[in-house]
Amino acid sequence: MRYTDTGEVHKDFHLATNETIDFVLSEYGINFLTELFRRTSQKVYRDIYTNLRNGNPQPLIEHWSYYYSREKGDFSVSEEGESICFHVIDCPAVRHLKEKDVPVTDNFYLQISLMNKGWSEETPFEIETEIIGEGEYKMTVRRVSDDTQ
Amino acid sequence: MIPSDHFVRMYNELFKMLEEQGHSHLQKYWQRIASLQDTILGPYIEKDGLKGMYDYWEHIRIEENCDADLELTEDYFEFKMNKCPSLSKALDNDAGAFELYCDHCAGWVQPVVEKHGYYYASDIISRTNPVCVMRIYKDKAGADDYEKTLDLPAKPY
Repeated sequence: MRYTDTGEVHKDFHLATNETIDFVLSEYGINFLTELFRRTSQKVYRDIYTNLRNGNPQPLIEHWSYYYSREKGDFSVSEEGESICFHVIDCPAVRHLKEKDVPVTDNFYLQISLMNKGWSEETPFEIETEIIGEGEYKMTVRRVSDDTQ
Repeated sequence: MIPSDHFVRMYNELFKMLEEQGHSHLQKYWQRIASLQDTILGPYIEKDGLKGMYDYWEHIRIEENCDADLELTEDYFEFKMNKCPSLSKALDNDAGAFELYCDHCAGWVQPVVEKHGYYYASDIISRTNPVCVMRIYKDKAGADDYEKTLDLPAKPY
């Protein structure tokens, strides 16, 4: 993995992410927010994105598994044919907002859907984000093409 | 979700995008983060002044895995960063660090402490080496005198 972390976790950064999403949406709109997460998914996580472009989704699954575990989230991973479903049952970010009495709005989930949109762009995969309930969602990585870059 | 550990790398990308719009856009964002942080740091300051700041940043030192030394005197609180995890992550980043990355710290801390009647001064020292020193003074003269000794004083506004 390109990035790993040890030691304590400062979960108040989830509050800052929430505030940042609201700020960007109100000041600049959805296209600016989409570009922020496109740059983050493709440039910050260049290794994950390059692997996706080359037809390998495993570094993304490994990244999710590592950080949802590190933040003590509850999730399961299942594979069926050309699809991998990462089912988040208890999202640590949502849990932290609720612990801090910060309302969890639909906008909060944009960090997930827009990161997935960025990661899947110009790759052989689509990544479907399905919000099931507060703090529960599925991210399904599905191969839709045999093309690799 | 953006992992807590990776927020700063996303933040770093946003800084670049806002700076592309003009520096005032970046400053407006720092002010917004200051408003959020005031809800967290503000109660510490209101309760215990400089001691409250010491308590807040001691919590941050632990939770953000900072290599840092804290000092509390009659006149000021000092936070000396020996290895800043935030700049370290911005530098260890395939997208590259924003050139004014360090300014965000003064950008949010200064408005919060000034709102509560304190005076801020900090030495960035280097934009590529993750060390810095921040002091928050009870009186303006102390902060002004200290600032005259700094190599690279933070001037976010």
